[in-house]
Amino acid sequence: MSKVIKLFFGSVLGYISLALYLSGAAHGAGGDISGAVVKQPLNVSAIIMFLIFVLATLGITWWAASKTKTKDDFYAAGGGITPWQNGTAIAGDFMSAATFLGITGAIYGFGFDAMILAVGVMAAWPVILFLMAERLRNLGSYTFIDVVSYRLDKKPIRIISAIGSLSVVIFYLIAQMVGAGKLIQLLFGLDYIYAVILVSFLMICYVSFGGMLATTWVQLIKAVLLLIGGTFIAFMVMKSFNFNVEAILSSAADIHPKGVAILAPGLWLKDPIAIISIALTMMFGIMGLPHILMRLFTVKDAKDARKSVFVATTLMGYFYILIIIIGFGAVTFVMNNPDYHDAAGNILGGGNMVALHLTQYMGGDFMLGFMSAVAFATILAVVAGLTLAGAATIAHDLYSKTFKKGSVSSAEEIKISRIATFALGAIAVVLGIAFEHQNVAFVASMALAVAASVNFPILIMSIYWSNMTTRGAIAGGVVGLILSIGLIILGPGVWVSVLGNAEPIFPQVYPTFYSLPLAFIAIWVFSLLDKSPQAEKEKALFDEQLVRSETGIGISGASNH
Amino acid sequence: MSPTETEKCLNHPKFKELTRARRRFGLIFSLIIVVGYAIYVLGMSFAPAFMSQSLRGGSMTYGIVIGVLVIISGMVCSGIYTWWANRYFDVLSGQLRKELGHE
Repeated sequence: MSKVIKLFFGSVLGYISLALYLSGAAHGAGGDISGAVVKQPLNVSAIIMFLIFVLATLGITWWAASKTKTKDDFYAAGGGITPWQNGTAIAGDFMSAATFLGITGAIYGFGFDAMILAVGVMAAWPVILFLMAERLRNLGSYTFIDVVSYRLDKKPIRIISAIGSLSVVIFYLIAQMVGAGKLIQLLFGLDYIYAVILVSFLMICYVSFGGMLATTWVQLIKAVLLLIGGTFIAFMVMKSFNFNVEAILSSAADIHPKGVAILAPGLWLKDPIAIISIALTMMFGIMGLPHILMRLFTVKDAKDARKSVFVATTLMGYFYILIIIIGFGAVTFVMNNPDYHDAAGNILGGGNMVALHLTQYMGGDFMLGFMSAVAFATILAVVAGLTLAGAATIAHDLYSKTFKKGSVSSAEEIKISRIATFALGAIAVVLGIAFEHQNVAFVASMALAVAASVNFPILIMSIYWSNMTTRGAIAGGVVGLILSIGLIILGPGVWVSVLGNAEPIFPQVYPTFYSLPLAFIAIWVFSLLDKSPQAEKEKALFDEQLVRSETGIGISGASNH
Repeated sequence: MSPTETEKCLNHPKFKELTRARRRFGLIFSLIIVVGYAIYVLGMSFAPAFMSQSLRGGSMTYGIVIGVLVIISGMVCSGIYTWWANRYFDVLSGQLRKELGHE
């Protein structure tokens, strides 16, 4: 085993230096033929800091690999993560590059309307704490699908939930990979294809060798770095305005071409259904993200799950407040600054680069290098968490629990997880390259919409509604899945932007306004109509589930880490 | 866990107290967050004029204040819930487990 690990790490390092060399050479030859994104000159301080991060995390992976022996270690780090570590890692898992760069860019462009992307997150996390975290920890062992299938017919319910879970993972992976490729191209001057392969390679390395323990540490370190960077930039913005928040806003309104309109609703989201749809997608999508819910099983009990979510919520709330300051502050320092615009007056690198231009303005090339490395680390941490959740769904929920009916040894399950990790890594590269020139905004909205319309309704109803039956859960899952994916395909994101039609058949970007309530109605109606003997058995099991979810009594030795 | 054990736990006064208190607590706090979020979202949708109003003559609008308040109340409510649950629910749940012979 250790030989394999050494070989693997050797090849990773070799690969990174080769990729850097090639990109340097390509850049030296002046060869850049890609479209919209213009490669930046090789950013040396960013690359050095990124290499330090990669070496440190590979070292941690090496250490974690020696501690990852059973499937319990692989999926849940043996339940040995402390609440502080787990809370920080949850924040690190959730705050993607899209959060930091994307929301800052959106607030810079649209002002107030884009704040909903931050507020929606902070509406979801406390409710996860109040209604879900402890009960989830008491009922499941590795994935949220364990919880859903607790008293229902295992095979069909695991299959429909796994489809929901894997759809979310793959859509999210595509969005992350394409974003990663473009970002790395911009930040490091590395070719898109090398960037995508590099991300996938490192992620496979972390997940397949270090499992949940390595993934946790990658996310934790990245969260700390991101919080330090964000605090620095926000502090410098505040300092420039003598810590007067009102002055930041009035200066932004003075400089922004839309004026005071950026401090009020209406620049981005035009009609009530669009606003309510995005609000529902943000809040309930987060409550159904498999890679986030999986982190609740890495601590020893329900109490630690509760503390983890509290730590995560606090860190994220703090960070989103920083982002709002950074987004409005960027208007003052970036919008009229010729250093950050090309000859035609467009912002260098597009809207996602606003946060980094502001970093450069406030902290010079050193801080720019630091934040660029953090942005790259952020992508790695998020894709690692996604891939681990996908691998757990394939190996634990589908292979072991559904097709082999639980007769699989721990070692075999880990082997299947590793194969699944490699497969997901390969899929991520292929799709990342396939979607390079597509507008991928719709893929990210699909991930959250499916999570909100499939995973969330089944999960919350399985915990709280004693009358839900397998038939009801499957009906709700199918309705949620078809509506969420179908309406996005018929909507402006795919029907117009990708397929090139003039008018969308479904006018909204987010389908959740319709798909979420209809999924709940389907669960309700089909459960009440279900008079089968199986349904009676499932309802009768609710009492036992209730006792276990409230007290933790009945957790067997095997899953009680 | 056998059906009789389940039955015993369900009828235990401490179990009833625990579930009732936790459910009430969880629901009240969730409602605070959901209502705050709903005010923000519905304000954006149906009362943009109100959300655009200046708070006290400066550039700070009601919309921005409400948004930031939702974020802060999320942090504060999480803190109160966790503090209370650590002191009250866990003690109750420990006593319950002991009395049912699970510890």
